[in-house]
Amino acid sequence: MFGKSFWRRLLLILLAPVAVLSVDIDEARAEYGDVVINNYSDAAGMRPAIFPHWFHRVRFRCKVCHADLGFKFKAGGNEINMVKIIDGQYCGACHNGDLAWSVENCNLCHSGKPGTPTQVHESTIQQLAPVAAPKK
Amino acid sequence: MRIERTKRVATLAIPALAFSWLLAAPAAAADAGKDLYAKTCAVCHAAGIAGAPRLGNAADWQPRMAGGTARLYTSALNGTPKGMPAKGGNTAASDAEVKAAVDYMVASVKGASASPAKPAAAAVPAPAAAASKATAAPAPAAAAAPKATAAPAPAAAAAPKATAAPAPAAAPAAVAAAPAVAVDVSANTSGASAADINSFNRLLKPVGKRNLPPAEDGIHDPANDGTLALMAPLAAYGPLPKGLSGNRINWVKALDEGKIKPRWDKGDPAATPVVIDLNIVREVKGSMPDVVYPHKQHTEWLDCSNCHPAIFLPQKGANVISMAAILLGEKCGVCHGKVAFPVSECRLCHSKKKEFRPAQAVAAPAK
Amino acid sequence: MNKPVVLLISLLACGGVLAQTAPADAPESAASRLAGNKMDKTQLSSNLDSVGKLLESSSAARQIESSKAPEALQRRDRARELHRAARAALDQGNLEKASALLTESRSTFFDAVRFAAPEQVSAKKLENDYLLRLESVNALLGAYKRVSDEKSAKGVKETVGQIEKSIAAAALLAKDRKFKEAHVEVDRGYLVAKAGLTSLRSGDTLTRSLNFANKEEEFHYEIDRNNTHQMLIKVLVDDQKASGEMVRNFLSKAAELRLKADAAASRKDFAEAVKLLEDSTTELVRAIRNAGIYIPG
Repeated sequence: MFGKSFWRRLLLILLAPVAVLSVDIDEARAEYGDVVINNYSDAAGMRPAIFPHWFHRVRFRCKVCHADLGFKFKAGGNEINMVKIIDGQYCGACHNGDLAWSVENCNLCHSGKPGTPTQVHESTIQQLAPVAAPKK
Repeated sequence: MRIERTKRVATLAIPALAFSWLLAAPAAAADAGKDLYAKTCAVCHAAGIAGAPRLGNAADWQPRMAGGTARLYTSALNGTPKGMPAKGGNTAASDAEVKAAVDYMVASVKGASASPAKPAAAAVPAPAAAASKATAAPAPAAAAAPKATAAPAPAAAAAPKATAAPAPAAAPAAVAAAPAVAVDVSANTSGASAADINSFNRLLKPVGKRNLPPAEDGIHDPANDGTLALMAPLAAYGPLPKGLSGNRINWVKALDEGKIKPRWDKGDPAATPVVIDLNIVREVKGSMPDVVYPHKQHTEWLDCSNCHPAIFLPQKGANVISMAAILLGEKCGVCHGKVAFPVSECRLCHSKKKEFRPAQAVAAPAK
Repeated sequence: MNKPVVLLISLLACGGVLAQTAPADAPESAASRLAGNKMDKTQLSSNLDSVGKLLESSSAARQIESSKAPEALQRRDRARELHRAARAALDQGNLEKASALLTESRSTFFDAVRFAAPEQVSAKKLENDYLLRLESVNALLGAYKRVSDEKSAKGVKETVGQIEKSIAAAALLAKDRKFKEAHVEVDRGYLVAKAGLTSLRSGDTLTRSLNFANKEEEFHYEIDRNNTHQMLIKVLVDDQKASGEMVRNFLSKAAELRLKADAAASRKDFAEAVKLLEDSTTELVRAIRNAGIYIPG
């Protein structure tokens, strides 16, 4: 019943997590739809901010941010800065300690590799005209 | 996720392998031919895509066999101008394997003509049924994937009940399904995907390179304490229905099934969207199916003002939309290819088949 | 299922869970996880640096300085003191104290910003939001008028009247630069337009047929189609396959035909150009298929 090919396949399955753990980080890709925003971060000496669409679309429909809160469909096109956020615009509309954690948690947003240019990660446009990779 | 996959491996692999063991399997070479056929060749040669000679179809193969086996080997190894890619596009296959696959296909026509014809017929209706299910719904991709892998399993289970002869075809189909499920390297690369050709997705990265946790994903800085506190996508994706591209999640299905309950209003969890059920059909040239744009699925997520009038004018005939523009991130490409599923999922939009108009000199594949 | 199989599967499941780095069974949120982390001297030190930048050189700091509001400046000075104290605590090795002081410094600073008239910076956005919504309402209103004509609907005049009233009221508020209120007002008209269109159009199917007025139009369509297939090669086919000999042959043939088509177009021979473009696109389709991806022609 458990012939040679069965054990061979099982070995492959067992080795899969090993493969996952030993992934080459340089070649790794971020989650589809992650937006890196680096309009002012590099100049200010902060890590660029990364907005994860996947986490937010589980909780809010597109309309809430893009129609009600005024986010434009453009990576970096909203010119968000700390003043606007603290004033309760853009990210600050929810990340104020009430609906979501307060924006005083700098490193949760400013978590990108320094030097990563503004982009929507893994977008088709990137495949057609790749943006420069983050500087190591 | 891995638990479900391995359970499916067990339930599919064990009976499939058991049956393949039961037949007095011929030499290992013939096995290799069958394997390669199921993995690579069936994509075109099962249904005769682009004029490919079909497995078990004597009429298709007769003229080709007239030139001798050596010529067939050459065609398979080097490709032909009519559209056959070298080694079927599988450059990893060895010459011997390719020749074995040719032998397998030729054998399906010669000699025991009755039984090989039956498995071809048995294998085709099951995937064909899955294919018609796929074209029916607007978001068939994730639905088709589990259905395609499920269909060969009942075929494998049902066929041996009839006679021993259909088992050879059932076994490759099930064997094909098992590896597809087992390693999940590409959810639909095997013969099981012959049913839904366009769901074949070479863009799908292997398990170790997609949906990575923030610390390993290439843009987050792992030296930042915040990065390590962020949730890994896979931790949330467990119960969600899978898709073939983008996040590999079928978000529309997730919403329909209530697996996610995103708010329509920032402060009011009970607010419901204003959904408009309006389909826009855009005809396209050639044999590509026409595009159907469904307002219903989109207005579950978006507001009218998101697209109108900044991206699309709300007037018939007022919008010039080309695939080139979409690929470059305009029109539909404002979201699709960035946040919503990318354009590699052709049939999700090109979903309205054209009636066959024989008199029309359409840009046919084999000119 | 057999016991050994079950055992192997459960072992694999454990491995699968451990293989994921971020905790899958974590408490409430990223912030609570972050707060629950062990104190780390290097991290704290770099956080101190970040907060320092926030206090001195960020957009918020600039806003405080330009606003000259005394409460803002006062709080900012307090935040600076706390920041210095945090730095001192870190140097002494008291990580807990340093972290607590840093957190307080941050929230004091954020308070400072709130006193520094931040709405000055956000005003442009509110105006923009209102204008965009106005555009949308006008577009939907136009569509509603067209559709109700087409369908000879009832009650159109009242609906249109309501929407136009809303727009006018909003315009008055906007003149006084009360953009937030104007937005709320125009939203009323917007919702009416939305409801009206939904009731008129729900269940319809509109078809945009492919009818070319002349060969020149068809030529532009074909150019797009040709460009699309070139881009699809980049998107669908990986680089290794795309450099195979057969694929390159098809691509060069396609490029040749495209050049001929462009030449024909410059001679205003659009019929010929269309034919050449169709051939060129067919070559591209063959290239894609040769690389193993089936797409309809």
